[in-house]
Amino acid sequence: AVVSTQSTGHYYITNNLRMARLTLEQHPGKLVQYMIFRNVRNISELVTLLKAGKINSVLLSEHIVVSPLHIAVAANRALHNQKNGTMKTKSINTEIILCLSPNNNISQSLARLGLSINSYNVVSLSIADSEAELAEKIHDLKSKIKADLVNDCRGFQYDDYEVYDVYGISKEELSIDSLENSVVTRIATKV
Amino acid sequence: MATLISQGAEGRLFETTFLGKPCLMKERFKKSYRHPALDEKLTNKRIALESRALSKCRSLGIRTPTVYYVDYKTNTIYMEYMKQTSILKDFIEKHVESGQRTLLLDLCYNVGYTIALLHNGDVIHGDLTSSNVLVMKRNEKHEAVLIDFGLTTNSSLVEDKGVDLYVLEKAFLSTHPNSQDLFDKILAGYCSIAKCQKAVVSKLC
Repeated sequence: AVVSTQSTGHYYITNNLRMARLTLEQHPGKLVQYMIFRNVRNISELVTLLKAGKINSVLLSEHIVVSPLHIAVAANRALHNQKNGTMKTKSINTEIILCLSPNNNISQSLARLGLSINSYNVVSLSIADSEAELAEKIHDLKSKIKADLVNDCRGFQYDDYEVYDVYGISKEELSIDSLENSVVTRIATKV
Repeated sequence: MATLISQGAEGRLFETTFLGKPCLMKERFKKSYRHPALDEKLTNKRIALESRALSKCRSLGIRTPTVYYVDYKTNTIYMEYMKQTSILKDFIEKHVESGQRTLLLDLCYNVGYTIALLHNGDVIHGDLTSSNVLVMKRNEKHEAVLIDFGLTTNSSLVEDKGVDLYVLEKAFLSTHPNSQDLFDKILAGYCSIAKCQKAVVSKLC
């Protein structure tokens, strides 16, 4: 079903709202799907698995994710970088995290936007070339993440002040347009 | 899936979508009369300048289209297609006959105010004309949205800010006949918050 969100005006195909698929028009062969997990009980195990390279999806801390558009802009750029051979990191997953960051410092980006021991809610993002590959990644995530999968993943619980801090958003900026648009412009125009 | 909207001397505008949202693709041409290495460097620099300016404007409190992606390979900027806006030039032409002068005057004040925010941030637009300002209605008020930052520079010099306004004055008065009062309102809006406004405005005379 195609769902239209009134507040943001954009739509994405969702499977019963527990997982949202982002249609990236510039990457027609790619399937991009995210899920939100709350009250994660095995965060240190997940961090260890991530560091060991055992998770083949992007894991983000929910508190700095503003909206699906936020994720889409980063994923779009990362996928272009992968296609052009201009990735600054070693994998598409870390590249997406770098693209979410307001700067080009890889270690800082992974620390601030990726998963840390202090994270309590997780957003997972999986990129695949086929339904089978995607299903496998989703299954893998569901088995490894011990948390509650949210029933409606259209709204993110982000920490306003953390987002303003990470992206350097001023009060003046918030008065003219949405936080989502400010954050998205920041990451899209980063050189 | 992109449809051509218009073609100018510098490039082309296409309409497409980004995550389902209306999206504008601004593609800059390659100039074949230039040496290819030089052309690539120049065009890349222009597009980097433009995307940085679009971001800087936001932090200064100026409404500009949201940027979704900047493609340095094809020199294309993908940004929010603000369909709810009209170009200032068309807006003025439409309302100038209809006796809604106060509406236009208030709008011009806002245009001047917005340019002052730009100059206070030491950003020189470089191509201020009524075709590079959009009009957006927000909370019953008409507000200015700045676009087309291909010629921006950074300068704190009063001289450069004066030139920016001078270019606007000349373009404005020639495009819109009998609009001295409108331009004066732009200046009034500008002077309301511009730093060293006296010096800048004196450059105009």
